Amino acid sequence: MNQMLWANLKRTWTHHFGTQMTTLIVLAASYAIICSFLTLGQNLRNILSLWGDSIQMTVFLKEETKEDSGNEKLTQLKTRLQAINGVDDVKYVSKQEAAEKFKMEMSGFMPEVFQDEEFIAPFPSSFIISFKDQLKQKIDTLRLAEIAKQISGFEGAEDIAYGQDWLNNYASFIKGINSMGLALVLVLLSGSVFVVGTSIKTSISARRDEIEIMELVGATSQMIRWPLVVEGLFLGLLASTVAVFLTFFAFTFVRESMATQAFFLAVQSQFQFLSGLYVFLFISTGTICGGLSAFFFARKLNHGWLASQRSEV
Amino acid sequence: MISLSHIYKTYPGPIHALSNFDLNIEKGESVFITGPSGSGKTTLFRLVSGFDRPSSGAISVAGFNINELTEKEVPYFRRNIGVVFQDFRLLKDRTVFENVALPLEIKGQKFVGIKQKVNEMLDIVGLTFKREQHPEQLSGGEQQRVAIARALIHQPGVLIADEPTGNLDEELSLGIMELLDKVNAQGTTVLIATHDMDLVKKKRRRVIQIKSGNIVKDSKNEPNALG
Repeated sequence: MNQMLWANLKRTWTHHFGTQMTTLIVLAASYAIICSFLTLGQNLRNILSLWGDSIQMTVFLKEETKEDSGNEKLTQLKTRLQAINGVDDVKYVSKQEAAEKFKMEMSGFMPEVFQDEEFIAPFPSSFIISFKDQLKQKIDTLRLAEIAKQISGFEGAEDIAYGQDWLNNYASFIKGINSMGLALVLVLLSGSVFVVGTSIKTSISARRDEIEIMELVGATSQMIRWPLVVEGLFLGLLASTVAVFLTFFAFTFVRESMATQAFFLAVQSQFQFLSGLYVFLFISTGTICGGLSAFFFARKLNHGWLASQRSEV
Repeated sequence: MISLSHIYKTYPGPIHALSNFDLNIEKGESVFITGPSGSGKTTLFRLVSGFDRPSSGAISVAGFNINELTEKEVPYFRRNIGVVFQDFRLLKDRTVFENVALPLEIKGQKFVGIKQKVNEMLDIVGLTFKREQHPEQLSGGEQQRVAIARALIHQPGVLIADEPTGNLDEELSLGIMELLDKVNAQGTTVLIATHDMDLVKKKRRRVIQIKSGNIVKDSKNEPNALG
């Protein structure tokens, strides 16, 4: 059986080279589009997750929470903040530090104000909370809101800010990008299943006589279908591998061009091609898609017995 | 070996291809089925070879009850018969050797055994030196001999041939008929559908004449019957 499958595959490529090549080109093009979107999506997510890294929460302190290290209330509050699930680090920022930071950031816009020695920035002291990667990467706005609510009940906490509105918009944007990417991949994948299926159908039509002769000499439907499924698997494997190479070369070309024209973006380190695991999964999915669509279309085969049932009165 | 009892075959229209058709062919017999176009020869051929089934009635071929065959059993039935067509039905992308070897490959036999059997069969049909050629490189007569070799390679009990000389000239036709005689002499039951009356007259065999889906003449029932 295995010998027959391989012999059939070899024969198909030798005697129907034109049809097979056309199918391969169309299929590889479809898969290359999917691969490009996956690469684009992955890089977009990477860039967006860099923004996510800046997620932090500021807990402004009440006036009576004094700044000296011996203040029991301050130490107690810091300990409670550190104990919250998802919190990575808690850093104290005094009034003076907040004022200095403000001056540094705004001096370019209002130099005359900040040159005034007696200028006192109206900022309270605060705790800056940074979060663990898991929470940042997920952009878990619900959990952040929960944490903010929890902290608001702590003694000594005046107000909490973490850019709620911006974060909500950002989370919605990321969710939208992910959903769109998934939908697009599904549409393109269905399209490629259709392409393989159509090509197998064409292949079946072109070899109707051959199939009838196989039936004539006693081939079971599985003996007729499996070589077609193997053809589909092989086409899927070849097309997805070609697609990965095409996308890789296109990606490298674009990255090199960007690196020359926009060197300040650190393109080489930020833009990455799909990882080995993703490439493996992509090729596996492409191969399985080819086999499945061939199996699906080849299921409709049968000329001898069923044909008589159709023609009966 | 072949038995048809009260067979009716009706196609949409309705077209009554066979009506109350009865036929019995014994093991080792060689029988000509003759009749004009549209008489029901091809329908009979399709029914007996398991490519079609009757609207009603019972058919038994080589010990298989055709009426009760399921879709999955049909291939196994076909492995017990040999079928030859007017248009040869050879695989153009395979060599003579590969075409003849096909039924054995399908049966799952090993290559060494296949090689030996195919070479022997090609020797019988006189195509040993054409084994590596493709059907398109052969003459009509040679192609039909390949088709016969393919039909016989798995040693079926019954050989069914639909107009096997239909595309051949007189000389080649006689060559093919001699080959079929040889097959019959080895014990294979042979059923040949043909409208070539000259050929039929040259061979002293049982002749069944069909018209409008009914047997109008069976030489077996005649006083000076042959075969």
